[in-house]
Amino acid sequence: MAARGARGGKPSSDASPAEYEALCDFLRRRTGLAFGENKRYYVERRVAERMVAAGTGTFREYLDLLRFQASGEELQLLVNLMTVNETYFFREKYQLDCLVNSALDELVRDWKKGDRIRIWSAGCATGEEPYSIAIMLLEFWNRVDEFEIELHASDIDSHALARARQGVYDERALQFLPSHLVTKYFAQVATNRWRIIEELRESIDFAHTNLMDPGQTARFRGMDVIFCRNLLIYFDDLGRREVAASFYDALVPGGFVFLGHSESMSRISSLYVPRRFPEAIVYQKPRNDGL
Amino acid sequence: MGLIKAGSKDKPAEVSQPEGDPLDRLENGDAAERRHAAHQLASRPTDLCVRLGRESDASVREVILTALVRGASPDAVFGLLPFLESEDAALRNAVIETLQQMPADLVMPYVGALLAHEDSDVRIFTVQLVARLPHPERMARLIAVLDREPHVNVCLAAVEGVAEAGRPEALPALERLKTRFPDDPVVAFSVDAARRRFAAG
Amino acid sequence: MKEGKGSMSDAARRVLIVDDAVTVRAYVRQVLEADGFAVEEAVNGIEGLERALSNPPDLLIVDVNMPKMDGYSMVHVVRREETLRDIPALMVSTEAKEADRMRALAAGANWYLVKPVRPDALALASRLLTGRPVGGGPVGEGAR
Repeated sequence: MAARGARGGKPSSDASPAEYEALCDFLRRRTGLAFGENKRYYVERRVAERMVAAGTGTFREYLDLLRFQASGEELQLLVNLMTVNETYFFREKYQLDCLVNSALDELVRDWKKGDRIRIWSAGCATGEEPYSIAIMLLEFWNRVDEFEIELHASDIDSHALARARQGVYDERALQFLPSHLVTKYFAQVATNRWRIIEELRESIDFAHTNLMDPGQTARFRGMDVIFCRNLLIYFDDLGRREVAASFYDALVPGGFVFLGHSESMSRISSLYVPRRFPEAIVYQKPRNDGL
Repeated sequence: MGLIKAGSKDKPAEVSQPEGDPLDRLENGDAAERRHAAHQLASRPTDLCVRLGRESDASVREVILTALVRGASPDAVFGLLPFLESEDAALRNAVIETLQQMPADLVMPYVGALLAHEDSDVRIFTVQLVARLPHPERMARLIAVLDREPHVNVCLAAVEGVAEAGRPEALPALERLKTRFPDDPVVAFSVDAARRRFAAG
Repeated sequence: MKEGKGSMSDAARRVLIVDDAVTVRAYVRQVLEADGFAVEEAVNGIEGLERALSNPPDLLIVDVNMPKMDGYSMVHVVRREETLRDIPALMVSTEAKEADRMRALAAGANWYLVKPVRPDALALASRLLTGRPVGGGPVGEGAR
């Protein structure tokens, strides 16, 4: 354990090294989010912000608030602040191409018309990913009308989810969308604000979910594809292992997981086999449950 | 067809949880039920370890192992150690990884006995484990292996461990190792590679 | 095995070494690069499969004991995978029992060597498994 008061430290939250560590421990256990010493400034800034907003005088008081507040509202607000992602439509598009050009076709090879496909965007933040998937399916999957497609999306950040449900975006988020798709799927609602059309907003089931809580992830079952891109980087080794195991529960045998382009199951979990498609490497739950 | 409306599916808002005794489900349920039961039994490390010895499904093993880490008890460590001798390579390696994720203070007390195990492979796994444990005794243990362990592969695992830890205090012991195995090109290479890393770093 | 004085392609045979020990990977790289091979690395069976699937090598050298996916499991998957199944696989391990050798062969390995592997044994096995002549020096010299 770090020595108490061993250094001057930044004044913002007045947390001693031991207190900072206690906070990180607490966050890791409750949410799976892992922040090390190298993220200290990032975390401290946000804690300081919340301390002012919550009116707590000392760090100790704030930590108690996080721990003991029955509603959990402060923890939720802090977590929201810490999990802001920069994202945009058609991010890492080669994986979306893989979905509609390769992975789905393999998935539905022996299926009948009208069968149901379930796709889960885990860690959807403000919704760019699930809406991107929806657009890709409608525009680029030549079999989209043969099947029923359920789109699920989840995040631990309730504010981001609210924004996702609203579906309003700025130029920056839309910059990689061809303009004819912006015209087709968005309506301009203000200067530099476009809202995705109602048909797509209604097609995604957004759920507030803590991936570390099996009680919450239990609602996701029978998934054919899970997207979890650039989210697991925020977890520690054990957290990543556990999330990968809960995805296993969520997936059908033979189901796929897409990770971020610099992520690999080789650092995360033993349960998946890499599969190569022309566009991307994807991870597959073995078809017979257990190799 | 195509994208269906959210909320229009026949899914209950409340997900029903399996009932009954988790220990019973751990023994008798299907794989999904056993995974769920294992997750609930983090406070029962001995029962989990007993099941681990009989469990053939990799996904259930994985949940058992992560539950053991979450429970992080001396009983969990004690129950896992025998698996270092397992004939099952996948299980053995998963157990090593799991022990690496346990609090170092819980694992280190057993290291002495394991480093004296008659099976050189168990000694290798122990060296690999020690190399990853953030603990003040770590370097002393690795250096003791470099100086006294008779089996070259165990020593090579210690060289690897020292190199990965990036701790130059082991350099003299690395040089001594070369004199213990003067004719082994792999030892010479490994020590020189480790030395270069320290020099570079 | 053909004698290949200049008649064989000079393109270097590519080897993928799959081992969690950075020292072992560096050692194999040094020995085999000196012998005219091109060497790629992976740290465990999953990364090994990713690399092999992206760019199938001419030879796999696979350690048994690795985290996330051990060597037996990796070779087993390789042998079931259409684009990889014919790639020769050399398994290496610290385990020296006959049962381990049999297990490696049953998983689909072509050869099994016990660590520590001497440089000449490593080069010889690699040449044999990739159809290179076993006499003479590295590819560049052999072609003369």
